[in-house]
Amino acid sequence: MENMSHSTLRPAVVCGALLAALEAAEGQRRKRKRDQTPDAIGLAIKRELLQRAVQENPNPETFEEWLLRCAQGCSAPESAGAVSAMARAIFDEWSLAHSMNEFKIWLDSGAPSDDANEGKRKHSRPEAPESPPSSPSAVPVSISNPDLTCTVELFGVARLLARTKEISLALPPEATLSHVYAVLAAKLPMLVGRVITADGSSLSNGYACNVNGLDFVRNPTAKVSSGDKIFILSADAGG
Amino acid sequence: MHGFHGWLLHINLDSGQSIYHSLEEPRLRAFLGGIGLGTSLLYDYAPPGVDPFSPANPLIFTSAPLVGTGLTTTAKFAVVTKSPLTGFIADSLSSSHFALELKRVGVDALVITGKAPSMVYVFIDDEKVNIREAGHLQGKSPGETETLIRSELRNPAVWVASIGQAGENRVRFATISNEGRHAGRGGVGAVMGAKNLKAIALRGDRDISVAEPKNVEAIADSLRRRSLGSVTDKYRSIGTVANLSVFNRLGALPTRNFQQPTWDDAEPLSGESLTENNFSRKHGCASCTIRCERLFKSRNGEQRLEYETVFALGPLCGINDPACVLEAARLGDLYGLDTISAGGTIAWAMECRERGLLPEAQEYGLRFGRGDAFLAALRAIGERAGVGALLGEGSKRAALETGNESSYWAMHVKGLEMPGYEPRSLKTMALGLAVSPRGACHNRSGAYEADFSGEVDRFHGDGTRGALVAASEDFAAVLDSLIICKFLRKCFTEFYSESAELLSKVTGWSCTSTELQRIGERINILKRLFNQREGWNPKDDWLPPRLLSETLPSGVAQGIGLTPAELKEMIQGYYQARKLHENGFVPEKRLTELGIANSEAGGVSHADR
Repeated sequence: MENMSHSTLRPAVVCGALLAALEAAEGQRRKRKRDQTPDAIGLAIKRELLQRAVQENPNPETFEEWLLRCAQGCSAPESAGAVSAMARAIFDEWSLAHSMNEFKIWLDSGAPSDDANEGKRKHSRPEAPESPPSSPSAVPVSISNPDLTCTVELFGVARLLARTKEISLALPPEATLSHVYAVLAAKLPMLVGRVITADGSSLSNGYACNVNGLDFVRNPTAKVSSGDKIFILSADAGG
Repeated sequence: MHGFHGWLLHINLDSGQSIYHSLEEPRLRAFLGGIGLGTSLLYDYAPPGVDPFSPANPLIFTSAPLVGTGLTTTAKFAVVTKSPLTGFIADSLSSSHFALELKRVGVDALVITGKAPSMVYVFIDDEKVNIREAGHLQGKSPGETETLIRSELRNPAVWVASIGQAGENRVRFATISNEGRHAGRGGVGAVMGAKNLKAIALRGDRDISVAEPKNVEAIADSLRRRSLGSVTDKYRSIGTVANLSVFNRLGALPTRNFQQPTWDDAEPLSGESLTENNFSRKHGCASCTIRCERLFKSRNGEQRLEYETVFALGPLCGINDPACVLEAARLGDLYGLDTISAGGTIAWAMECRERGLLPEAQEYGLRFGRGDAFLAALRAIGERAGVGALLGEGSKRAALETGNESSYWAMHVKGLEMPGYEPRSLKTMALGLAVSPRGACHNRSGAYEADFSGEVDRFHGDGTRGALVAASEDFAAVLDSLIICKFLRKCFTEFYSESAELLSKVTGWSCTSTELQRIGERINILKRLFNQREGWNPKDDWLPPRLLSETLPSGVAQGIGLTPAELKEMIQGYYQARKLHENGFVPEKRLTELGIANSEAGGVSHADR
């Protein structure tokens, strides 16, 4: 926290945007065929925390502490774990928002959502500034009909940590590698802080990305195409 | 003098005489230690045109200024000689306690010439040199030899480098081994065997002096911390075996004697699978925080594996059974064999046998994927028996003897078998392999780094690669002469300036990054000059014909090839970057520019210690 700069986003601003995305996604959740009860419970807790943050407007410097107090002050002991988990998720999303330009742009443009606008835009692809947020949880929440899918293949440390060789990701249109890392961080949180940076926006030093076995791509703003195979591997090929 | 002792010990096994010579500061400053100092001494001590197995061929062990300073990854030493495999320079590195002890006996270099009348070992006890009879050690593995010598000397603090049967039998790719590690490439162990020298045992008490101890300690602390960051995660978490699955997916894993760059059956040998199924424990060299060494469970206990060993004893020979590869690696340690050259030579034999060209391999049933035959061939090489008599010569000589176009399948450069980087899909690496003074080498440059960086098109080569390879060779020469392990290289923000500062604090010299870069250049030019003196000609800077006539048949690089014109263009770019003649020879002017032809390089002088 002490590293936050003067440009730190107010938690209430970020939480308000997350709340909007949550509400927009709610309609989609109800359409799913599987039992939605656990999702509903989790989202209800998250919504309540987000609403409190908007109302109480905690300071950025004390936001983590504020969330901790919310979790500790939970009146129902059986829900304390869930509240803690949601508080941690909100704090991560708020932290992530600082390092991702797309997220800030998305906030500035009023946090538009594909879900909220569904039916109005149908098949049109939104421009980059209107892309859904890059936050690990915000992206999957807001993408119900992704225009783009890619496969991430994991090698070495990443594979051992994730215990999987590959994972398929649904991404927003015009997605960049930053989106890939953010979604990957949300799906495979064990990679965060080791293979993917703590803010979820890029790969840690020592890791590299290769697209389709052809190009090593360093720029996280490089666009991803549907069907791409994205390899996450060690940047060092010494043997 | 700080960082160095300023002494060279010359042991002549013909006469049994040992003489200390002073090493002058100008030479040490011009070449540092390790590979650089070794190259400089080789040029002076090797008679021009010397037969590698002749008693006159010097076997040179060198220490380096950073050794013993507590800096992580610096417990290393170099072995330099004229290679029996290539006829050019052989420079190999090994590491751990033997390196520290070499520094503690108070010399910067140990030069061994002559040939003992029977098998001996040399025990250097601080200043005293004892040449001892070693008939009882004949046929013993390096591990057994270390134990027996320690027991005989009744001192567990003695550190030993020795040869196995392969060295005794002059297998041209025999290693010198210490603590399970090897000075591996170029046949330095065969040169030691030719001198009837089974082992060198060391015990020393000399202090290692540094100019600014507190500042060196501060830098050491910083490097130690950096060495534990994400840039070394691969080495600390899995080890170099992590390369296999990546290379396979990128179409860069040479398989079945370079017939294909991918292998669908490679998974059991991937670093990830080995880690999940066979991992036993981590290990590291003395003074190292990275601890890249991985020991895997095998039928005989534990076995160390590196990527190059897995590649050469696995996919290159069409073998994917981890138990077989682990056993082959154990045999490599037991006999003291360079596993890259062993695998490369057997892969050549397998291909020849499958094409009906090598009747000697018939009785072994050598074929790609035949593990039992493969292990039998490895034993035969170590013992120089049966087909091993031929294969122990290395693929280049074996092919020349076999004839019938079998040279087409001999995958070597200058006689040194190729490492596990497919040159057709790694074009910068292709150039690095072609022009390396010690032959097909992945260590004296990190040319592959450009291919894995995204800064160049790895499927297409052009003249611009020359400067990249030259810079990479110079960088490696400085690392290998300071000595700092290459696995630490990415922990530096600006390598040359940080290393210059470090060297200054250790030695008391005032070094600059420009000076270090120039030292790297000087070392590489002197290597070329040595090779030139020993008969190098432009056709030696080239790649095996298969690589220049067959395109890759599978994987993401399918259809990619390497044309002679493309390689030639890259080589010309390299000669230009190195300021060599168009045909690769070293101009006199370059020697003057780099201070090789004048007194800057200094010399050795006979002196009493």
